[in-house]
Amino acid sequence: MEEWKDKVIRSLSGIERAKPPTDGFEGIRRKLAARSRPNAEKGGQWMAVAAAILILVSSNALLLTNHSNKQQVVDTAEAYPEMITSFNIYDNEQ
Amino acid sequence: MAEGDQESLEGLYGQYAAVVYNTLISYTKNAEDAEELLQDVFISVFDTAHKFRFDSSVSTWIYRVTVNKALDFLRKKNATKRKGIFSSLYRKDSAKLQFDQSDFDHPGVKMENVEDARYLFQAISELSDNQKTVFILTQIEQLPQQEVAEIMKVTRKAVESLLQRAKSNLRCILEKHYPERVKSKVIASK
Repeated sequence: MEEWKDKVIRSLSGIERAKPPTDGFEGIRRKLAARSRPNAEKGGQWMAVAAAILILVSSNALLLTNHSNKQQVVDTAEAYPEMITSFNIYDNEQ
Repeated sequence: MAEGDQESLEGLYGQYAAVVYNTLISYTKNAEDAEELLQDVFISVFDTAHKFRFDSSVSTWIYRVTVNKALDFLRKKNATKRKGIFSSLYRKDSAKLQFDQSDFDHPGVKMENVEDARYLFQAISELSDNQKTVFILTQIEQLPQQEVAEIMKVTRKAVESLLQRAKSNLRCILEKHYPERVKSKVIASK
């Protein structure tokens, strides 16, 4: 019963080495060259990220400014109700 | 090479590419992954050459980098697989991926041993990192136990013990995953 397991375990006896690809070093050379190249692509990515952040911040700032302006208009109207009511044309007609 | 000389790296590649590739393919059981890792190993060697202090042989150092790269790769691959199993809980067509059933044939195995070696490679992937490393380095790379001990930074006794445990575990794994072989052998012997 144990025999087949031993046979499987011994199946690697006399194994030969697997051969690496013949142009294997080319890949290494390419990776090293890509690494040492001045990284314009990376710079471009940073510019894109910076632009996105700038758009986000400025759009939020714009939104906040608009919101506070609107509130100011409402506040003014509430502060002087008699000024507005005195222009009630229907009351004047009576 | 410590000064960034690529020609020296090419020389080292010519000398060690075969042993590195053979070790890597035994771990990854996939030629493309082994090729990718082969490049990574030599780039790591190139990057860390200035730190090499000759307290071990160049061969030991390269084997050490190779084993570490291979184990890192398998850990990442297993983590991805675990995520896959987790997400498959929510899918109806989920498949059980716990035992790696990929059919890998090592190109250096003798014709008559191909089928058995296929079972063995599947079982090796179930061993712990240390047992796997000892088994691959002693049985596939056929390195002496003392050299394996230096690569793994353990004693020769520890390597011997790990190898015994690896073989014992392999028997258990084979029996667990291939019960049909046990049955067929019993029938054949009757």
